[in-house]
Amino acid sequence: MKDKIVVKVSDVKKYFPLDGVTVKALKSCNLNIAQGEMVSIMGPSGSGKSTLMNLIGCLDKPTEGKISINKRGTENLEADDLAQIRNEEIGFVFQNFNLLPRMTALDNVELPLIYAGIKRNRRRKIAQEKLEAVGLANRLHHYPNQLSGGQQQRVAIARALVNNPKIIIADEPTGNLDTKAGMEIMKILKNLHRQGNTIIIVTHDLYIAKKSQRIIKLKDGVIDNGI
Amino acid sequence: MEFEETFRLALNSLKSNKIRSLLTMLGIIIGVASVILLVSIGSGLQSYISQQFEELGANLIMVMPGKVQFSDEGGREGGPPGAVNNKLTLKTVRTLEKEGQYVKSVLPIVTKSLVAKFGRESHQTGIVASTEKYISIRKQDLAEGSNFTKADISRGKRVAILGPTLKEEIFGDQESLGKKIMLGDARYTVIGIFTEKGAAFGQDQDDMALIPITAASKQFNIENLAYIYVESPTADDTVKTAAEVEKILLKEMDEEDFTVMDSKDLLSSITQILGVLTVALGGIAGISLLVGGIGIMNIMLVSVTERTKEIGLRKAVGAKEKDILTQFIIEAVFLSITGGLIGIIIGYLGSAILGNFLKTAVTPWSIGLAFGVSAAIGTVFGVAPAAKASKLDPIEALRYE
Repeated sequence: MKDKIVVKVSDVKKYFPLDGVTVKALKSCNLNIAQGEMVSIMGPSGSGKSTLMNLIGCLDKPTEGKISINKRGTENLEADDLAQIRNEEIGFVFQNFNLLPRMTALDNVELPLIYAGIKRNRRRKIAQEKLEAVGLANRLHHYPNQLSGGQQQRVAIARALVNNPKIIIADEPTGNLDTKAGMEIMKILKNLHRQGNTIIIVTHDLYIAKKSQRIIKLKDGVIDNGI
Repeated sequence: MEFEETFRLALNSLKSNKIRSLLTMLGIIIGVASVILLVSIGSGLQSYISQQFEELGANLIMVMPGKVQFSDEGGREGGPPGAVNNKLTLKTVRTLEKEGQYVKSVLPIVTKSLVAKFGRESHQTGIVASTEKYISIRKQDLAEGSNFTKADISRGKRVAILGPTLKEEIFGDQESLGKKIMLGDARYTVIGIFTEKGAAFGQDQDDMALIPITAASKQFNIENLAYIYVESPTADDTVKTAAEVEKILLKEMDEEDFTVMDSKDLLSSITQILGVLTVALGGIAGISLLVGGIGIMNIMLVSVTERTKEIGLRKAVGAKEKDILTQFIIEAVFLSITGGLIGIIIGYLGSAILGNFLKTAVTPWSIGLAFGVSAAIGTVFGVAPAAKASKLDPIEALRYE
């Protein structure tokens, strides 16, 4: 690969203890994702794709092996350091949006900036820009329950973008949406990709996966075509 | 993240759940208000009693017939109840005046209840018979008229100074000076009216007439005195004066025949009892503060569980453990401090309202204590739920439904 690698997964294993038995969720995974790539991770449920996503998203640490985000190894980091990486390098888009119900769209988008320590006025400005970029300029002060599913997901995308992260991880981003809203979300993600963002989509929907440049197939904790 | 931001976050999350926040605070509000209210009643009682004694005169010593420990103000007539051989007479007064070095003045007192009449109006009242010094020693003022003269006392002249209540009862709005009234079976000329003094120990001090002791002893054929006030030169001398009075009296009578009471002694033992009572009342109210604190902890724990998903999301977008911890602690502390402040206001108002019926005094220490305790409770009971929240695993928390 000639491009710069932003996610490097080397020999990663992840085991969970479950009722006294060790579940091997990931067995020796290798995966490189380059800057600006749009990748889909596919696999049936139980294949370990959520586990892989959590590891790449620095929500969890591997049992064995190494994960580097933007050339930075994560294996020796404490919980708070991982929080900082999540804050600076990664933007999450979840299947069920995960917006805070008692906050307006603007407040929700501002959330990562608060933890990044950015001042209030600048926060407002950045959050507003990102919401405008996803076409919600006239929904800034709406609460999540006043928005449609598609609109909520767009707020979530604005939130994922707000810190200008290296990587955007979208976990089944269209899973809770109807086809039309789903298509809109995919269009936004495609656009972001075109603007140079690295996007990782976790999905079991082949139609969605086909929108990306590369499909990584996961089966029983093993990646077929990671590199 | 800056503290100010965390504070704003905490405040917003409390605002978004107003009713629950208010109910949580209620425990602290009631606790703080009741501490302040109960302590203010206790302290009010204390200062009321001190004031009563102060009015009586801190440099006054009371000599009563017979041996008594504590006497209430009832049973004035002929001294305390029981078969007491009353040996206090005007002669005793003269001896004390003559021999006492630490005795500034001596005031004999005889009391009797009787019916006062003017024209068709009559009223059951009490007379106090004493000398011309009564007014200055008991720190009373005349609204109109004049005091007895020395001659009035020595000649036993039938003149009377009326309390405003008695005047009102039998004269109404009429002019009373110079008029003749019946006190019991004798005719007295009104020469003065006292200023209003109000109630003391639950008695109307204004429903009385003061007459010369000589006139009274002639009219009622009384030899013995109800009690004697001895005034010492200064308030600091009362102990010395009391000792001297005792010494002088022992020459004339037995130890069982009289009691010397120093108002300071009495005051200090009463205020001590009331002080203990006040603290005990405050302590009982303090228990409700504790219960309020546990209420806060309970709600915060529920809140952590309920907001698991929110905590997970905050962590996913970069919240550190410290950020979550401080947010939840601030919420708890804010709840308890706000509750404390509201409680202080309610306690203060409550004691002001109660002040219409009985004497209350809001003490700074009870406010400080109640506020300090409520802030401490917020912190102590907020830490456990906050720690629980900050330790949540973001993956588990996000998955929580």
